[in-house]
Amino acid sequence: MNELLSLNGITKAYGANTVLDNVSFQIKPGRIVGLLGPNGSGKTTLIKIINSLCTPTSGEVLIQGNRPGIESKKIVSYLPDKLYFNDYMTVKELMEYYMDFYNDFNQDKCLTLLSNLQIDVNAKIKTLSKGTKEKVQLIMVMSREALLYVLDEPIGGVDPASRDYILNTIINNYNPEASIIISTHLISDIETILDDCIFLQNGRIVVYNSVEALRMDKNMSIDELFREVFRC
Amino acid sequence: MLGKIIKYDFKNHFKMFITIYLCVIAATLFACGLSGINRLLLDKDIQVLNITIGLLTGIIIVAAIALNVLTFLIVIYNFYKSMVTNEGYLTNTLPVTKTELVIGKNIVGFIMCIISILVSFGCLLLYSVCSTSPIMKSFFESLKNAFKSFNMIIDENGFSFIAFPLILFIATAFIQLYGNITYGYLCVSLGQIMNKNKLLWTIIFAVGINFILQTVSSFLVAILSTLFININRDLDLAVMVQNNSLMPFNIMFIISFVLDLILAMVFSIATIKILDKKLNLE
Repeated sequence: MNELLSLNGITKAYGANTVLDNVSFQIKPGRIVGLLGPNGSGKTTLIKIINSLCTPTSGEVLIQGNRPGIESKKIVSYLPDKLYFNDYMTVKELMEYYMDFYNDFNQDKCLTLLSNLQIDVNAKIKTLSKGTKEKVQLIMVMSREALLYVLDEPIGGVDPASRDYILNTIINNYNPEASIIISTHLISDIETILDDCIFLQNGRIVVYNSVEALRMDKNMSIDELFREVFRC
Repeated sequence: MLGKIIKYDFKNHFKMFITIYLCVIAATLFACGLSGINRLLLDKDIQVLNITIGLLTGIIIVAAIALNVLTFLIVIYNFYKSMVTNEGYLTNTLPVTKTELVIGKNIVGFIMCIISILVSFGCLLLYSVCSTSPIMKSFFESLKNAFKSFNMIIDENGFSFIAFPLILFIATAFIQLYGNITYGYLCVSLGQIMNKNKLLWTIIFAVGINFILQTVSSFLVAILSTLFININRDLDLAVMVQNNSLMPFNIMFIISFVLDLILAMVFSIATIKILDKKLNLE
């Protein structure tokens, strides 16, 4: 058993509304997995469960054999689809905050990435544009030497010109032993970097396979497959 | 990790409060300056100056009281903001336990409330020393008399019999303050369970819990008073001073201290459990 992440029969219901229905999958180290699905398919809830921001109604999540908690938080680097900064901080203070709480934070990598994007470390976060804030948040997350990166819409709010840089940042800045889960709607932008993909629909997994196998089998790109599976 | 939580939370609060403190202190110094001018021109009886000082006295008294209320509200709002709004996505994924998070924020909230009490009391004291306002003069005189009477009632061992109830009173006030913060945090943690209008629900829970607590405590006080204290006989301060005994007060303070301590612990444990098992971020 060398799975980095293992989900067994995860169900999440809010009253009568079942958001996730018996979701099970395993992710081995070194994989980049796309978590894809239309709005309301349960992607963000699944990600919140992995990050112990939400408790499943039933089922079990194991991250390197541990249930979500302090041990899992030490090895999971999470990028939510929201800006979570305290606006009064400067970029430097935010970096120090990460350094203080995460032993795996790589300051040199962080400074290099900030410098590449010409982001002033002394700038107050509230003075930055929304796109720059998103970049800062991604840089903080990718500057950790984590074992599992969970990225919820990492390129959703940035301009197309910056997307390539961000995707390169993701690919070039993760430990080869680590895995990445990326949730996004911009499939064509990320499909070249994916090893596996999971399609979620109404809280259930409808497709889970390697990207290569899916392309060979269906003779179409993942973007085309997505449009076919989720056609309205 | 508790130390780090306290460090960052304190930094965050202090950045916000330093401006408020400086404003209150500056207003006090300005009023002191005006009072000084007024003192020099006492024989001239300048109407504008008198009105200004009267207004400033009112402002400083209100500011001193408002500072403490504001501090409490800001402390609770900061907890709400850092735990259950977008900032919660970072706070709740830090590799720390919920116990460390809640206790750390409790300690910081408590320290900020104490600092605000000291700042507001210091400002009132300073203004009462230099003010020409009759209200502030009588405040200063009352304080002086209180200290004098405390020193006067000293037994043969050099120990004032008021010291013990005074210590109990201060300890009870501190634990009540701490308990109020834990109560605020509990209301936030209950409010965030709701899917919409979390802040509104926080206020509804605050009102509801407060109503229950007030009702229960009224009954409790009535029962305890009947059992242990005859209000007419035992709480006659003159008799107590004559007998050198403040036992009835001591009993009341001890009971109050224990109850407040239990409540603070219950509130904290409930908050930790709710945030651990029922976290419901937007």
